[in-house]
Amino acid sequence: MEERTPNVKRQISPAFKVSSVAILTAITAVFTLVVRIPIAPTRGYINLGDVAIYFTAFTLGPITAMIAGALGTGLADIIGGYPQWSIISFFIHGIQGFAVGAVMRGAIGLTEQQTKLSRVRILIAGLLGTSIMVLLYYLAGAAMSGFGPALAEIPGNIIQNVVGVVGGLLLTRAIYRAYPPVRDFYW
Amino acid sequence: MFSSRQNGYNLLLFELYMEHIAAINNLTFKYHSYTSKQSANIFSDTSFLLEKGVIQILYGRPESGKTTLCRLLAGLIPMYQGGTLSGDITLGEIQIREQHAFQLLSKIGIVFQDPEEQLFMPVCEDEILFPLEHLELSHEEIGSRLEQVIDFYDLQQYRTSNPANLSGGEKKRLLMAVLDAVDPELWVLDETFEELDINWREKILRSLKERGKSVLILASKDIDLYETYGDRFGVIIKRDSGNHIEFSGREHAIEVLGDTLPSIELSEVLYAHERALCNMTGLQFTYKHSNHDFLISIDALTLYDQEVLALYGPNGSGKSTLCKILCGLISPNEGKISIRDGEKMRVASENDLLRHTGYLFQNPDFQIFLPTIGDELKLGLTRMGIQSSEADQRIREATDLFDLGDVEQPPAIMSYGKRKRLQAAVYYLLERKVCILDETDSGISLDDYAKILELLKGRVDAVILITHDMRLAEACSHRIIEMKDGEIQKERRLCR
Amino acid sequence: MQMTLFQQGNSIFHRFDPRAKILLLLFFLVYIFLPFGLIVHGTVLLLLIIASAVSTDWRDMFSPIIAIWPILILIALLTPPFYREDPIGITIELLLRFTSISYLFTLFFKTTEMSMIILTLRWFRLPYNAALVITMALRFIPYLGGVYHQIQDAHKLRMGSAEKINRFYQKIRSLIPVLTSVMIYAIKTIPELSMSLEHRGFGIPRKTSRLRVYKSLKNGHKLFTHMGISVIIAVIFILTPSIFN
Repeated sequence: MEERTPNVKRQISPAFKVSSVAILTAITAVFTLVVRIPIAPTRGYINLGDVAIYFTAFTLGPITAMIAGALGTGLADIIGGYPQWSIISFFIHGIQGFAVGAVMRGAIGLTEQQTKLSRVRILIAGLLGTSIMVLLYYLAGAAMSGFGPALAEIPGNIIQNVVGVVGGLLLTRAIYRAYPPVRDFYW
Repeated sequence: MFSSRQNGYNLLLFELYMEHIAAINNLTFKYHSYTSKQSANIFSDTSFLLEKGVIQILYGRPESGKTTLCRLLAGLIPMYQGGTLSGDITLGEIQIREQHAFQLLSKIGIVFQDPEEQLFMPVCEDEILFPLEHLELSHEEIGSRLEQVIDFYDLQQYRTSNPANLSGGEKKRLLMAVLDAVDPELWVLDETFEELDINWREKILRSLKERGKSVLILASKDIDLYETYGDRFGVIIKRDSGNHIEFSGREHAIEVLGDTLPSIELSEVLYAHERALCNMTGLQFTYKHSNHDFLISIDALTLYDQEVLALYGPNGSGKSTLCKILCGLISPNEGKISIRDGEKMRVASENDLLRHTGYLFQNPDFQIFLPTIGDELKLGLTRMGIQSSEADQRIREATDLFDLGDVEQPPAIMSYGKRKRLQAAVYYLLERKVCILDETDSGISLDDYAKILELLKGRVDAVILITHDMRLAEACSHRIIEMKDGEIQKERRLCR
Repeated sequence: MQMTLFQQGNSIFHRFDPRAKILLLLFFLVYIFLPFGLIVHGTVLLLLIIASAVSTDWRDMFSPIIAIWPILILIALLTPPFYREDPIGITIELLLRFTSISYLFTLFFKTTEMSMIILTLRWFRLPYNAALVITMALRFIPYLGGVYHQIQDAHKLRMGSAEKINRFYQKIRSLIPVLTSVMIYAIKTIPELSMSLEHRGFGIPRKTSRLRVYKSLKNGHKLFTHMGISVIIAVIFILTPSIFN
């Protein structure tokens, strides 16, 4: 491996931060809108927005995950025709993204030893992210549509999160191999 | 004439005589290597001056470092694409190295080669307003500059449309408008004129000349107008140790730029019914566009064994859509496609077509899915029922033929030409009957293009190439079909 | 990909100042949750449906209900078992509430352009960078959506078949290469976009208040009037329920 010039650190400029948040917001919205797997009872499908959120939290850190998660899902709800959920999605996915990113703190293991260490973190982050999302959606759902429908959403949300953690992890691994410069993108 | 061989002392002398806007001294640059292999120098110890108030043309073949040079001049590299830089770049009094790129807003402006990388607003108007609002101008000044460039570049009807929906030439005009509104001291145009039509080329060049702008135009092809409007001519000379830039006059530059057409050997084609590979009859397809519908209608078109067929026509003439129908990605509203099945022709289903035809998209990145070259080449092979050891054997063969090197490399950080070769290698291995090359000639070197075409031509039964370049179509094909507004306008067989 | 709920029009809802409109949206959002009883909430829903019919094509009047009918059925089925007292009343209350919220948001986004919403939020002191992020995201959502479809096509072409994959696990597996490719493409855009932003002057410290205000909402008598109308509407809606009680 070649030695890195000091320039690599300079990369994280305000322009870079704004760009990364904007692109990941767009990707989160696209994953939420375009990829729909029919399964959950209420909204009729699970989406892959959470894959994008977990990916962002793993590779770009808590701030990007928070803003991209919040704006991405919020915009997706507005564009996709479910605007009544947009404010709720905005807050819940923002908190979820931040929590997962904060627990991980960029600790995606690349070597064998790091992998062992990061497994625990991934587990904690995944559980935390899932419980935050499921719990808050339950509370918000209960306020909007009553306890019954909110309860019915729980299994779908859990599946969506499990898919999110596993998918986010697979994607992170793949991108680290496929596009090594991404290592310098964390902030 | 000034030559790069002169050393720093001579440069100093030179500066006394000429008023220059930028000086590049002993520039050496290479990108970071993210693999175990060292990356090669893009430029090595090259020096030159850019003069004030003249239009200078710098020729360079594809992948000779034109875009890298632009970004180095604007201080964007190595900030955003890591690399090792030595030597000095000065704009007037300013050392680029010591500046943030945004501080150079009124010093240097570039029109990027790929507009997709530069446009980031949902509305054309905002695209122009964005840099103006960072220039600390008064309200009135911003307004008048906006109106002026919108008027000059004829963008009135696109004011509130999404830049992404504009055609290639319109995008370049929009980016020229952005640059013109800012009006920096040095204008850098990275292959901007290739996509503009002749009237716009002339109009813009004339105005630049009249206004006495300092302009650096990077070009991979020669355009006649450069002779009329260009004042200085230079060329990027490719060397293995790192490229070199020399401003040595038009004749020398064009000589170094060299051939712009590949020489391809074509076998004879028998235009007989029993040699037909693929038959299209009565195809109709309506394409929903944002503001109007677009109809593609092809009465009859036959593709023959061993043929290289060129599809030629302007953007939006339906070439790509026709090819998508041909490979089963779009099902037509009417009409049918038959393919050869032994002695007979039979009507093909969508799945038949997907397996019959390979399609090299214009953008190779849309067709690369996996982290390494090896994985990429293997994807799809196992689906064909090929044993793993056999597959590895074939993959080795393909990496040798297409000169791809180590199978563990990640494609995303390879050069554009190499990514295109990988894309071709994939379809070489998949053994499709027909292969479509969608503007594969854009942005890659002649050698790469010739290699891709030669190898695929030997492997598949027929090749269709889509191109904007009539000379290229004439040099590499048996038959040229000109399309316009969704219909075949002219069909021409070339004597071979 | 349809990019927005917004529909061109010239109704009173389109012409209403977006700053007043956003405040009214918030007011009604709270109002719907307050315990005013079935008659008031039913009336609100009726008014919202009428507003929806007036604002754009009247044939779209019931489209919000069509979008949410599965959840309405769920509410109707699953609410009664949770309550001993007045299960029917509570169910109707919840149905009215959810439908009203859906109508309220749809009405707002149907009659307000996205760029207007961003300008409004800017007026309410949303930081410049946040507005820029939303603006750029709106440019890249349809673009990356298009990229996703192209890559999906390329994957189909590579695998040589368009068989419908029904199994959940297989579907996820076949998605991974496509998602990876889209993600690489998107991530590679980040440095390009940063370069483009900085090359156009992003990062210059804000020195004067003149900057970044070329396009902004003007404060004028229209804003004053519409804010006034909004306050009157709010007061009427707060006071009227007492008539019914």
